[in-house]
This record gives sequence, structure tokens and C-alpha cells, in this order.
Amino acid sequence: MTRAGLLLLACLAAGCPRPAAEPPAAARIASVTIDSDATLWALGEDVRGQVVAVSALVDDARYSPIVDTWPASIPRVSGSSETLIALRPTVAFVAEWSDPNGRALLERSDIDVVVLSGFGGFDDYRARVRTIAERAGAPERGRALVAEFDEALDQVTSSAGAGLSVVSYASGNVAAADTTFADEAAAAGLTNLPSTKGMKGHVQVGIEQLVAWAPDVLVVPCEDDCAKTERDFATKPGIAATPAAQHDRIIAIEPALLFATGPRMLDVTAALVRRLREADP
Amino acid sequence: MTRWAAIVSATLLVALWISLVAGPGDVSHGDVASVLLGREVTALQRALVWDLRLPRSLLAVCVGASLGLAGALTQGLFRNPLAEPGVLGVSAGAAMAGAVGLAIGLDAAGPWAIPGAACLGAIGVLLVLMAWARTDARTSTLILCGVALASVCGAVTTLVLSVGIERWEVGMKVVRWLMGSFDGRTWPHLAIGASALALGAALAAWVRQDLDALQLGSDTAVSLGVDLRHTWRVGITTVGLLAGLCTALTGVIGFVGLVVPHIARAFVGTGHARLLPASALLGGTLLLLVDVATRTIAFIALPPGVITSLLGTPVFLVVLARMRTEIT
Repeated sequence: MTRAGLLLLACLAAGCPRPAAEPPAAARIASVTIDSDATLWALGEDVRGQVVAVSALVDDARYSPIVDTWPASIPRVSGSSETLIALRPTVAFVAEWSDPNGRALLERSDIDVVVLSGFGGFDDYRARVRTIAERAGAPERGRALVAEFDEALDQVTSSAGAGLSVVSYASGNVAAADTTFADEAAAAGLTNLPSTKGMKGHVQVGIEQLVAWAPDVLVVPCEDDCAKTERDFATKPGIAATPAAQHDRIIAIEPALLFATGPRMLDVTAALVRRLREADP
Repeated sequence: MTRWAAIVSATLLVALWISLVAGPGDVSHGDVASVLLGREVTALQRALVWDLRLPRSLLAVCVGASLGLAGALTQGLFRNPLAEPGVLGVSAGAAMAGAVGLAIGLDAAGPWAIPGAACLGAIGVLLVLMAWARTDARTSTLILCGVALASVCGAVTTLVLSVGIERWEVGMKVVRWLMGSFDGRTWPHLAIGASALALGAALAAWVRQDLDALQLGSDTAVSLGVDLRHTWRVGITTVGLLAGLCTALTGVIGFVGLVVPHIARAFVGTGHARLLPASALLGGTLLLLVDVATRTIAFIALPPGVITSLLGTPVFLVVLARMRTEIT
């Protein structure tokens, strides 16, 4: 045995001094969903500094709640795996509906792909915030965000819609159980009619069915002039006969709000409560 | 013809009544009768029957009749049993033009804008086919040409959709329009559909004898005094008008134009004086039955084009097999 070998044996027997553990390298985070863009921003300075890409729609006011918030120096990316890989992220937040092949490609490039699923309501939001915060190395801040959300929810929760039924109708689909609207309506005290029919998710429903349900409140998205959308919708054939139209309870909400999946969900509840109180003070 | 027409007409009337009674909402036979007779009913019952179901059902009849008529005309013009607006790419041309119109916001220009664009798309495809037919009138070549045109139009439509993905609302609008539906179609839509059918029927009646002569071959038709150019112009314009407006009103509904003339021919023969109205009558009845089925079988709003394609594809294959047998 050589001298080096003996030295190694002695060292092992005595317990060699180990090199000091290196601090974990900061993650390089790529966000490909608006939801994670917003959550990462809300998690604070430390997390923001780790972000190397945000989604291409982050500055689109039609969908994003944080327009012009992320610095322009942070690249905007869509679903292209090649662009993402080029940015050398260590973690990528993608949506469940993203291309599975693209996700596999990211994983083969040693990127920790976090698939964000469940955009169905308040519980899903809380779970997503915790997941994102944990993977971004800020679990405490994540818990604080959830607590802030719950506090705000307590403030907007109301019984203003008690005894009234509601349907959210957009592009021929109604929002049933397991949707953000179901929770938003419940927080406003409303009964979401499609949920009571055993429907789940966003379900395509004909105008005739909608009229036959005779909802007390109808929520629709509006492009520009929400007041005009409400007036136009109220005079649509069939719709005019519903209690919602007859009692001025057709409520148009801008799509960015109506389809929000983050804290702005509470703005929908607040808007519903406000309008219900206006219609029936 | 008379007995056959009576049976189909009776079926149409029964289907029309069922379409007014069936569906969500508490509406009885008596309520429907009360609405039609102007008696007192609840506002909701009136809305369901008068505002929604009646115009929708009548529109289904108009669109079915238009597609049946367009199919019989196309088969007569091309002297090919496989020709129909869908197979020849006419519907795809209308869909492409409509989708482009929706993507650029043409729908804001008025209720006639998208139907007008769809008509132009349909006529454009037919004009290309007509130009092709002048140099090579073999039916197989024409159908291949139609398939190629449909492919091009489909590619443009997909391009519109892929661009539309960036704007979710536009993408949804185009997709929903392409899927086709009678849902939410009311009296103004019916006015457009009925006008198109009336005009199309009048134009088709104008060339019905020319189409009969054309079945004997172009040369024979010319020797019988048929102005081929006039027949083609009127025929192509009529098919473009009918198929384009139908697509614009209710999306792409395939195979009605293919299947219906074949069934009608089996009962009334090949003479266009009887075949054209028979195809219209049968097409209207068939599509109304399909609409009743889509409204009552499934809880969700099924696009009628799904049902017609599911039913039409086997018939198309049978026709193809028969043609192959006849050739061999």
C-alpha cells in the first residue's frame, strides 16, 4: 500500500475534516403562466431576482393583473422549449395544458419542471401559491400570501346574494363547480345554478337551457363598454324573459377579472356584491 | 312523387312540432299551441317557444333545404354523384373567408358582413373549379382539385386560428363559428336563411332544364340549345350563395348536400324539375331531425355538423363503393 493509501485510511478512521457545505446556488426561475408571473412577483425582491423569464402575456391587459410590472429586461417567453432552454433555467413553472413533449424536452435538459394544475377556485390558488413559493425557496412568504388572501376574502364575503341563483355565461359556456366563478359566487352569497345541476368545469350550454334555468343573476364578460354589454344582453331574444334581465341583474365584468385565477378573484366577488346591493339596496 | 312528398312533408311537420315542444324548460303541447295562437302564457314560455325554438327550427329547415338544393345543383353541374359543396371545397372556402372576417373584426360591420364574406369565399372556390373544368373536365380531377382547394382553405383557417390563440376571445369566436350551431339563432338569422333559400330556389328553377340536358354530356347539351356558360354562371352563383350563407349562419355542416340528393333521386328520379324541390324538402326535414336530436339527446349543445358527418360518412363510402363496382 502506498503512503497516500495509508494516509487515506488513517484519515477515514480518524474522521477527515470535511469541506464547508456550499450554499445552494440560487435558482434560475422561468415562468410560463401569468398566474406564476404574478405569484413570483408577489413573493418579493429575493424571488424576483431569481426570475430569468416571464410569460409572453404578462403585459397583456386583457389577461394579466400585473401589466408593466416585470422589468423589460426580463425576457418574455411563450411555450417554445428551445427559447426556454436557451435561458438555462433550473426551475420552470408551466401550466397543465402545456405541450407534454415540450415539458419532456425541458426535463431532459435537467430543468425542474413544475406543472401548475387546478385553476378551479380559492383552494387551488392557495395550493399553487404554496407550491410556487416552496420551489422558489420562499415558503414563509408563500404562507403569508395565502394568509393575506384569506384575510381579504373574509372582508369581501357577503350574504348579499342570499336566495339568488346565478349563472356565468361566456362564449357559450357556463362556469359550473370547480371553477373560480363557483367560489366567487359562493363568497357573494349566490347559488351557482350549473353547480347545482351536477355540472363541473366550464360546460357548453345552449341559450335555450340558459333561459330555461331562469337565473336571478347573469354574469357575462364585456369587451369595452360593460354598461352597453349589459343592455344588449338584456334585450337578447329569450334572455329578456329571465328574472336577471327583468330585475336589472345582468352583470358584465371585464374578462381579465372574470377569468382571473389569482387574488383578483376577490375583485369579482366584490363587484358582484356591489352590484347586488345597487340593484336591491 | 306525390305520396313520397306527402310522407316527407308530414315528417317535417311532426319534427317541427317536436322541436317546439322538446328541450329544456317547462313547455307543454298546450303551451306551444297557446304561443302559436297568441294566447296568454308566461313570458318565459313565450321566450322559449317564440323567440328561441321556432326561429331556430325554421332556420334548420331553411339551411337543410339550401344544402340539399346546393348538393343536387352541384352534382348536376359537375355530373358527378360525389360532388357536393363540402367535397368540392366550397364550404371550406366559405369557412375560410368567414374565419378571416371574424379574425379581422368584420362582424362589427353588421349582420350581413360575415355571411357576405363567406359567400365570396364559396364563390371564389367555385370559380377556380370552373376555370379548371374548362381545361380538364374529368370528374375525378375536379374532385381532386376540390380536395386540394379545401386543403388550402383549411390551412388558411388553421393559420387564422393559430394567430387567434394569442387572442383568446377571437380564437373562441372562430372555433365556435366553425363548429357550427343553431343555438341562439333567431328571427334575423331566419330572415337571411329564408331569403337565400328563396333566391337560390328561383335561380335553380331557372336552370333546371339545362341541368337535365347537361346529364347527356356537354356536347349534346350545346346541340340541344343549352348556353353552357349561362348555366354554369347561374349554377355556380346559386351554389356559392346557398353554401356560403348556410356556412355563415350555422358553420360547416357537411354531407347533407351529398347524401340528400342521392336519397331523393331514389324516389323521384333524375329529372331536376322534381329532384331539386325533393332535395330541398328532404334536406330541410333531415337537418331539422338532426337539430332536434342534438337538442334532446345530449345535455351539452352538440354541433349539428358532428351528427351529419357521422351519418354522412358511411353513406359517402357506400356511394364510393357503388361507383367502384360500376366501373369494374
